[in-house]
Amino acid sequence: MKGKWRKRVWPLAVLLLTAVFAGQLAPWDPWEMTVPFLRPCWAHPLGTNDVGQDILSELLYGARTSLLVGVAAALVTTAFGSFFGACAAWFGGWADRCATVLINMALAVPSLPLVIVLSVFLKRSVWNLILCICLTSWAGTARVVRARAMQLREMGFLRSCRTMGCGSLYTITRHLLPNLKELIFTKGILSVASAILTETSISYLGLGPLTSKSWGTILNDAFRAGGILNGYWWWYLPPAACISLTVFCFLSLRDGREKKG
Amino acid sequence: MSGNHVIRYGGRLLVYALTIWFVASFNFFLIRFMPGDPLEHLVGEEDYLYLTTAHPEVLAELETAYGLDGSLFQQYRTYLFHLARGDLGQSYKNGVPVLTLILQRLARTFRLILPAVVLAGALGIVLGAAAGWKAGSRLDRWISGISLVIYSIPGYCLGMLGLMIFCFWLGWAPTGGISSGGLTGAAYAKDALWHMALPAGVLTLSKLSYNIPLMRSGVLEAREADYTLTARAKGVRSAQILFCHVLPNAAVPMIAVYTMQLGLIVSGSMMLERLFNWDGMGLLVYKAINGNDYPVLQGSLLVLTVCVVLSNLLSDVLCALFDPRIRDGVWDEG
Repeated sequence: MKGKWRKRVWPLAVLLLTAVFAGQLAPWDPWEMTVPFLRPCWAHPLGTNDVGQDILSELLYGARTSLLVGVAAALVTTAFGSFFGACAAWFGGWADRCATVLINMALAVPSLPLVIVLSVFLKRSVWNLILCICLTSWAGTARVVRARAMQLREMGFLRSCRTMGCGSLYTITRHLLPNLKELIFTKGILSVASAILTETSISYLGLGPLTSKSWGTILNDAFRAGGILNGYWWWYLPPAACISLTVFCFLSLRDGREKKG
Repeated sequence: MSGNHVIRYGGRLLVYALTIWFVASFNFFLIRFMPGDPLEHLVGEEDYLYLTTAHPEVLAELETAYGLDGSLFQQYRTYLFHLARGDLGQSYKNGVPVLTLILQRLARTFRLILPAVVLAGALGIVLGAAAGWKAGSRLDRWISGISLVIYSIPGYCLGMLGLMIFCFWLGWAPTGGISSGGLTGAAYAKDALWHMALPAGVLTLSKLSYNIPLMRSGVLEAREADYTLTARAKGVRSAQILFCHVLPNAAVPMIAVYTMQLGLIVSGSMMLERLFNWDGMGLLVYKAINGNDYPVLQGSLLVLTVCVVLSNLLSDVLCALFDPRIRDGVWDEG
């Protein structure tokens, strides 16, 4: 099983390396303008867009944005969501009731329109995008963690902690959360996938960060230029494939983990 | 209706009401606490600059019209009062009331998503049940594999593929829009269906890939449950176990999934609407983004939230009707 797990991790490792070394790997500067609408050729392996920017280089730099947004947003939402859920379950009573109401409210607000409204008002940058995603997606993690923590709450080791007079913060961080790490990890991977999806959707709607390339932005440009009906397949298929493959890799990582656990 | 019921459903209604109130307040405060004059957001930057220099008295008038005069508390009260009467403000692009604009588009969006949800729901139960009942078989591997692949492709990427294949290569589908216009009667219906086929198909496919694994795991769980073992031990035929014991247990919880989809999918179909030029909610929001039409954007957020809340309510009611465990309050669905 371990071998299989490793097999599933390496595509993501490759992706991470490409994102980190995008500057070295990209054959062109993604902002440099050359000949527009070139089909794939030796100089431009994936062709160029309407202003002559190399699409392969754009994709490599786009991996940076997508991974940065995905991982950063997932880290924050998972950390906050699990801590919130664990606290709600641990303190119980009114604290739990208020927390549940808050979680249910956050779940009922449709996240994409909320992110859209927020990003229309905020300045368009990567960090603001991450902030928007964090604000809208912590509740899912919090709900799952709370449900599981409720089951653990009455178990022997946590009862002994309480009897020995351990502090709440200590018990939650040292005993409650470590026992939920499998669940939190699975949920975290899902959060990465959904954050990447949100980022690309937002960029596809033309609300992406202004100063960095993103897969969604490339799709947006391609669609605006009528890429599909004019048959510029080299422009819109690669970013679509990148998004789908990345999400697929993260999802299959989760599946491998679940079967193991 | 026991006391337990009253508390549970009362609590839920309270959460729903709070959610709507929260989003409404969020809209109110967002526009007022943003840097700069809120009017700048409401009338647009260019008009604002023009008005401040040329006609300050018009700005003062607008301030009253948008309820921006007086203390914050007074403004908030007026705002909520207007909301309660269904007044979401006006689109500053063409001055049409936002609510009229939204309701008109919402109907078109529902025309797209209703068939998709129903179709994806029915197919999801059938395929998911087949995969779960024969878990581990070749059929299961195919169904689960394909649904995982489709699940990884975002809806709009799937839509692009569809457009490329069926519109650009094969020329079977129209490039977009709701209908060609100028047709009546049967010809119109045929034309509308022709326009709807591709976007609704793509939406069905992407929802299907979400439904199948859920139904499959439900069937798997029911298949391993004690009551199935009992039925088997009694010598009940395999088909009867599937249709009388496993399927009802696995399919009824899916009602909640489907109704919730109905609420969330409105925001999910937004990308597709832009792609297929389907003049519904999604395109409205998209155009509002590009035109910085804040009243329309905020109104859409509120209406979409109401959609989610209503679908949650519908799901509560339907579950209570169809699931005897919830109806009698012996099982907490969590």
